[in-house]
Amino acid sequence: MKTLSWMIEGMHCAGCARTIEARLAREPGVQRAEVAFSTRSARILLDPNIAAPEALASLIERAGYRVIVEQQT
Amino acid sequence: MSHAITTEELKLWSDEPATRPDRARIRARIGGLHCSLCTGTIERALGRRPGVDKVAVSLTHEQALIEYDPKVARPEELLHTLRDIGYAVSDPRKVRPFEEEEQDLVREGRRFLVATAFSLIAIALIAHPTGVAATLLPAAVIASLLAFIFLVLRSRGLGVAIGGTLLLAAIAASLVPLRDQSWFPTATPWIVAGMALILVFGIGNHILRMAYQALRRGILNQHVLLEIGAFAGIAGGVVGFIIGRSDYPTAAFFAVSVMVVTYHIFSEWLSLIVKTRSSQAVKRLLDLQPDTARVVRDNQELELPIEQVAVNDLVHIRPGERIPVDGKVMRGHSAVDQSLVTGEPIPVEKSEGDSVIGGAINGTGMLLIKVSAVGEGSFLNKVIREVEDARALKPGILHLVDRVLRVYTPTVLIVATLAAVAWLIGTWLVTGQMDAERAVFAGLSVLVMGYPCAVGISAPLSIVRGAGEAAEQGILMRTGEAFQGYRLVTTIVLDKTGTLTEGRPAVREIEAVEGMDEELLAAAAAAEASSEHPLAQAVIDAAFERGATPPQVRSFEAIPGKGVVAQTERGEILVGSPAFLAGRGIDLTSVDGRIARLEEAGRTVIAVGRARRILGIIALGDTLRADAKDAVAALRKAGLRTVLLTGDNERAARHIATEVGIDEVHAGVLPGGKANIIRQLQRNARVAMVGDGINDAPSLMQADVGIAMGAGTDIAIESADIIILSNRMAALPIAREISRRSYRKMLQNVTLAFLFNGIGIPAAATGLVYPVWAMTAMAVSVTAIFFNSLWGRPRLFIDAILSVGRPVGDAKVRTT
Repeated sequence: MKTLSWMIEGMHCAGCARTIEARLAREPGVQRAEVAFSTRSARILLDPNIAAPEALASLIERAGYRVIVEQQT
Repeated sequence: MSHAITTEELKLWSDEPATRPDRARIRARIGGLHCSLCTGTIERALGRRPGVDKVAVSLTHEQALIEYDPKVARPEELLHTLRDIGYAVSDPRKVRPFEEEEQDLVREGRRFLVATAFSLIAIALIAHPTGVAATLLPAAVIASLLAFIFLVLRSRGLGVAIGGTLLLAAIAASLVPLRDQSWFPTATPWIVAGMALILVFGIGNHILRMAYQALRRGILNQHVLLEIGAFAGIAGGVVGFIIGRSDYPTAAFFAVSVMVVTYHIFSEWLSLIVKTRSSQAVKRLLDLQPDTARVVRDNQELELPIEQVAVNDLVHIRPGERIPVDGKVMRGHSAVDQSLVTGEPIPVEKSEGDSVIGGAINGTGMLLIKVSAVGEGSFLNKVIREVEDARALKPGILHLVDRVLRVYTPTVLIVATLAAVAWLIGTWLVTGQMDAERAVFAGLSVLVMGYPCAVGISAPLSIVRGAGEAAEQGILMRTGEAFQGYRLVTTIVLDKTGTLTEGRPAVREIEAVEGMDEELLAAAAAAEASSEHPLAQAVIDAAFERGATPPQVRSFEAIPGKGVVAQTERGEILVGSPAFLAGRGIDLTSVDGRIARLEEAGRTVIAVGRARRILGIIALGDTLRADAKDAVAALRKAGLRTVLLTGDNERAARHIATEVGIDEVHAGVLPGGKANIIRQLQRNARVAMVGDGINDAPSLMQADVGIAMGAGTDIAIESADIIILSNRMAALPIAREISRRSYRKMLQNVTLAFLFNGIGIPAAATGLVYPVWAMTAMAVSVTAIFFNSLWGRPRLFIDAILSVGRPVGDAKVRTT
């Protein structure tokens, strides 16, 4: 399993963070997702065999936000 | 003669199980309860009937529960007694549809518009704008009436409201030039008299009927007082016609009748707004989906309404679904969340042969159950029955206004009589001849002055303010009990699961035998992620929060109800109950003592092993809500005794009680037992109950004030007086503060309402005050109450008016 740590730009309020969180949680293979508006960051725990990080990133970008991949553990 | 419909033809009650085998019990819905004094009247009237043991009437829910000896009394006769004293009886099983409420509101609004138009015309006709005071007063009254019209029309759009108001203002203004016509002084009294009669007997006919019914029941309520005032006005006018003197205020007397009825209709409309608004707010919270079950018949799956499911039917339950009926598991296994039904916070594993309760929520497995009970015998129906019982047994409160009126109305009547008698005797002593005209004038003036028309708006306006303030805090206060009762509560009973706690399991303690806590969590999360174990999500959450990334799982095997074996990149991991690991040959002696202690504290313990060695243990439990401790402390500081009431076991309950500082604990209470404990507590104190589950509903209804969490079950929300939409415990002391503040406002308003008329009565008794002053007192007190209630927050009032009358679907709010 894998934990992703991303920066997300373009969020206007905590509501945006909740929206992204809920959208990510619906994706198969995503075990947990946490998006914080205050730090503009996202942490995602996923099973890389089922969910591809690139697919998740494009999902967020399609919703009108920018993803900055910071580090991957 | 048409044949009268008797209760035998239409069964208008429902039979209930009685407390003793030789007794019968019925429940009926009563219409025509106009004030809080009615409950006492019904209880007395029915209690007098032979064979009747117990009568309980609920004003808020308009229901009566009667227990009687079926050998002596018959339900038809009992309900007939109710009809005799003017109450309507209807079937308690029929629910009042939404549209009907709306229609009532529209009808009341229409009545008010006509009444206000009449009032405007009356004032325009009788006003004599000759001095500053004589100009300003009618102008102020007219302005306030125009404002009312604007408010009533506002919900139909701003344009309509402005147009309508201007139109009526124009009509009133157009009457002014008529004053110069020669026929005007003679015609005025007749015009006003006509309007008074139409208003009292035509448009206000329903009030007349209510007042008549109240009188027959021996109740002197607002309606009676209003009619006394209105009739006194008419009588005064009639006297004027008989005397036929030009200086006698004939038209003014009639005008007072018009005014009092107008104000009364306005207060009725306002009360209706308040009532409809709260009932609509609650409806929006409820999950209006009808309950259905997927029944397997002849190898076909049919989705049937719950009522059509029969005992021994096979029902399929999908993952995440609410279990619709009570039954026994035939096939499949799943963890079932019963927290809302029994108060047990940790999901329970159910497999073949186990029984499940309707209302519980299925976990991740598919279940096929055989229905064991439906309808009357089912768990949910038992709860509904208990709620109904509690509803009628709920202690009623006499509303403030009714309490005052009980003293005030007779006083007004006595003063009026005394004034008349005093004038008769006084004039006889002085002149040797009784001045009947003066005596009648004095008596009627007192009666006209006596109706404190602002009293009707004093309570609804303070509720509008209080409800508005509560809504800003995420609190829905829906009944009179919420406002007038909560402040009096001295004991507050709290449910555990879902109220004090989050109601779902979370990782509480981690004990690593080898390596770091994070490693232990990561290993456990890896195995759990592939299983559908009820505690899996809690473990994954904990790992995620600590930044532990679980290793990749190659393959896994889940043993239902026991645990998981997973092959990972870091070796074979075993996660499950300590017994499961021990059975697989892992030595647990190093953690045995610790496991026992954690289980003692009410935790659910899972053990984690890797490569045949114990890695450590993880303890899971329900977590307290973040603000539970502070809220309990605040409640105790406010002088409330706190009580914990739960269906969960004693150990877990004691643990939580000590943690948050609760005074008294009742644990292991069966669903039916909760309401009984509330009843016991009610012997010595006024009790508020806070809960969210199906099993809490009867006790929420029974308590003097029931408080439900917004995320709670429908039945709990429906049974509650206060609903905490924010699901925050901190709202409990806040709601109490709002209840106190609103009551204070109500007290001020009622004082203001009675004050001006109170001053006016002795003045009127002198027989020297003209009825115009009664109208002045009304206008001043109504205005004062509006200012006092809405000072600084007029928006709350506009919002309240605008919020009703829209279809429910529009603003459906769900808080789950």
